[in-house]
Amino acid sequence: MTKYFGGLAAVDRLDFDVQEGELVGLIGPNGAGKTTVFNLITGFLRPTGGKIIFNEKDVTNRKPHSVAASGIVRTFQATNLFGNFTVFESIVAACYLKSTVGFWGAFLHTPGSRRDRVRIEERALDITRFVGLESMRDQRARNLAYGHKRVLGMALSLAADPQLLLLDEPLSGMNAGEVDSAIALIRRIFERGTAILLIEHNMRAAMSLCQRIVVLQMGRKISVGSPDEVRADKRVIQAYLGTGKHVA
Amino acid sequence: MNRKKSTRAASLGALLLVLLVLPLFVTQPYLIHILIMIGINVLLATSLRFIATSGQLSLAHAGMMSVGAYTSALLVMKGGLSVWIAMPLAGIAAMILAVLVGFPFVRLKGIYFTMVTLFLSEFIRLIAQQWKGLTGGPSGILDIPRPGAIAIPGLFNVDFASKADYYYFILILVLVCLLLLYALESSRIGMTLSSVRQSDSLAESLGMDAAGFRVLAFGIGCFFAGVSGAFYVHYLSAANPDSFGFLLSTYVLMYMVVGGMRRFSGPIIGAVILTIVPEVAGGLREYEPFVFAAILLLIIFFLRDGVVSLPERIRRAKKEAATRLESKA
Repeated sequence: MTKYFGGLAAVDRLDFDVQEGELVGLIGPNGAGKTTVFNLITGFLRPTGGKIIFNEKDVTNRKPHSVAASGIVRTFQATNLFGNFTVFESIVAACYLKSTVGFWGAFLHTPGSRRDRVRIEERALDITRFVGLESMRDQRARNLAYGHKRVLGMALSLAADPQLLLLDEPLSGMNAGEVDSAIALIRRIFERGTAILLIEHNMRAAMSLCQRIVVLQMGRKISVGSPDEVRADKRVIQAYLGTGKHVA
Repeated sequence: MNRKKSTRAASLGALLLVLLVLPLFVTQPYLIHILIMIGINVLLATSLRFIATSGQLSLAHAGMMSVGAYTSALLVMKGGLSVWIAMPLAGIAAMILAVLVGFPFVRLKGIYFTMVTLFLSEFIRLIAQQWKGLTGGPSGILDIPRPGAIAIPGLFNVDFASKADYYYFILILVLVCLLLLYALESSRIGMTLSSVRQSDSLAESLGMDAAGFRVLAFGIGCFFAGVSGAFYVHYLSAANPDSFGFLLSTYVLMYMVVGGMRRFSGPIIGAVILTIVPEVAGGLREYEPFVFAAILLLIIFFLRDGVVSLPERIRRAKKEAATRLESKA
């Protein structure tokens, strides 16, 4: 997979995979192209070359909503929420994908749509409990504390029922307590059988969570392997600490 | 909460009753004409707000009204259709046009979308002006037939010879349309439109087809603009391109903003107030655009959420005053 911005290769012949139910980390110094990789996978950007295969289907060049429908759901690095909705309303809205009722059903309030509505509200309540936002369910999303906003972002992506969840720095900006509970949440999501691809700057968290780690530098894959293998890789140490030869 | 709901239902019922018997007391044709215009404007402003719930401001409402107006007039006069069939078809014509242009248009966000809708509206006006063979050019179409009479022998006979008949027609039309729009807004569709407005990228990442929903909102909003255009020309029995100019789109936008966009009732109240103001202002008639601009500016500076937010504002101010008093004592 390759992506050029103008003449610059932001992602350069990158190739990696995530197995079913696997937790893979994507790490690398700032500007390595990690978020670009997410944007390429989820259809927010179109790759200049290469392919994205999911469940043996080619999802390259699909629109974001159709990628999400196929089972790949992402979160965002910056808080990106439906600010005017309450916690519960946002999760209900995010369950949209799983609604079985079409336009006319929703419009005419058919008995089927009412049953669907009840089912969706139950699901939304389950998710609210699962992520531990139950006590805040009627607060407006924009009034939440920062850490809770991030958790709500993850809750929304769960509502879309992903097979593969892409988490973009889920721990950034959190305080120590929030980090611990967010790590526990990510682990719980993983234990449900959802495959996760995780971008994270918090090395300790990334190393402890991930089964496999892909290291990016300047859009290229420079290392891949278990946390221990990656930690021992000379190229990785160079990428993070520099070789001393080319400064900045 | 339940009590609040029932008082609300009661006051809505009372309002409906007043609207139903109004023509018995208001008999001057001119006043009834104003009531009819209020109806049309309510329909326009409310449907414009529906488009706005998906986060896009359209200035094509005049153009879409014009599409509906000419479609209905021509279907009746050249196609021999009944007005009752031509009017919904006029709405559908506007909707089809909106959906066709919608797919390229909704790729543009914010002010760029608004600009292309304005160009579209002016484009439609120019076509109506130039295509003399079809639309009669600048002088327009005259002698557009009125709707066919509805009669239940012995009970009532509505033949649209008097303005009161049109009043009841627009009253029922507006009520039906408002119910439809309200049902849409409170359904999942409304919730998704609101999600798309609040965050495009998040909505897409969760599997909502943001562009598709925007087109849907635009199409539905334009349907109602088309229907009101059709009503308008059958009521006035004349259509001409200059009735549907840029100023009309701007006025509809003002109705919505002055009333308040946040609530369903906002554009209704805005349309009522701003249709009445020029009528009671007498001498200021000529300066209507200026008066409207002044009102709009006042609202934007002092009452951001429009006239509908006024009671809430007053309540909050009172509460603040009360707590201030308490803290002093």
